[in-house]
Amino acid sequence: MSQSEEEKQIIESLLAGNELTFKQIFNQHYSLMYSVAQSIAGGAIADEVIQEAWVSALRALPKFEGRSSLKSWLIRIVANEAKTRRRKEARNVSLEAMQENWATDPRFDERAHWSNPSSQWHGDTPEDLLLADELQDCLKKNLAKLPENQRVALQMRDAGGLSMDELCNILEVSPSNIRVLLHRARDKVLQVIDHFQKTGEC
Amino acid sequence: MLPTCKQVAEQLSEEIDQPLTGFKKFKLKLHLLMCVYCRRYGEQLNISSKTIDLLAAKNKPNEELREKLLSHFRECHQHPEPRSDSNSDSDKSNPS
Repeated sequence: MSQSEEEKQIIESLLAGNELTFKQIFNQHYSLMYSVAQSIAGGAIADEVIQEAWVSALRALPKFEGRSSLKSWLIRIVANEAKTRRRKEARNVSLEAMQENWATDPRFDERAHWSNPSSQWHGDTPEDLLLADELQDCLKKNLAKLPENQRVALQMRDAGGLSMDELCNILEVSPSNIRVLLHRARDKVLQVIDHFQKTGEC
Repeated sequence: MLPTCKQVAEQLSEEIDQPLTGFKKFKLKLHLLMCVYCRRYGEQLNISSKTIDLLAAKNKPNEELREKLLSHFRECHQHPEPRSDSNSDSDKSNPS
């Protein structure tokens, strides 16, 4: 991927010490950097991870060659920093276990058709759904319980808009595995919302 | 043969990232025409994906951290470190 003119200007501006550009880039990428740091290392040290990642990034910036987008480069640095800071080995569920759970998912009958489909939801936009603070808390709680590889893939793709190629590079998994990780994570989010819609409880 | 609901559920997630094409797409569409539960699942999967985006956007930048890093940024440019030959972005390992 070649570096866009706009990105070249941003990097030159950062290298020249333009503080306004730094603030803009910090603000622009904070949300995704936080989500990735939190997904891997936990919320308590997410900001420390971001701080270390920025220090590394600023040090390495003169050597940035634009082989990936600036965003993808920064996220890789955050992910690496977060991995070195996490206290215990992450709970990563293997692809085989994910496939097995899916194979025996009780929402489907023996012919692999729906036996227990999701309900009709009251709100039909994310804005409507997140009006309920309880649902926001419930989603955060359940996201924290997801296996790390699913959670990070979900945040990078759905919250960060990184491309499938970028996900494969950063997470070092194949495109077909990324598809499984993303589906299982989205399916879990759907089930959490569906349960909340049916019961009003987490 | 048309895909099962279970296969469609996975294909609907794939569609968010990269639309299916050809005969596979045709069979998916045909299944969706006949299956209200899968149509609903597809809509809800899209909403779920967008909800994650909206939820993450609520992470507002930490101003204290930004100021701390801004002063580091300032220092870097007042006292630049000598450039070394490591830490290129062509290296996919930890750039630190």
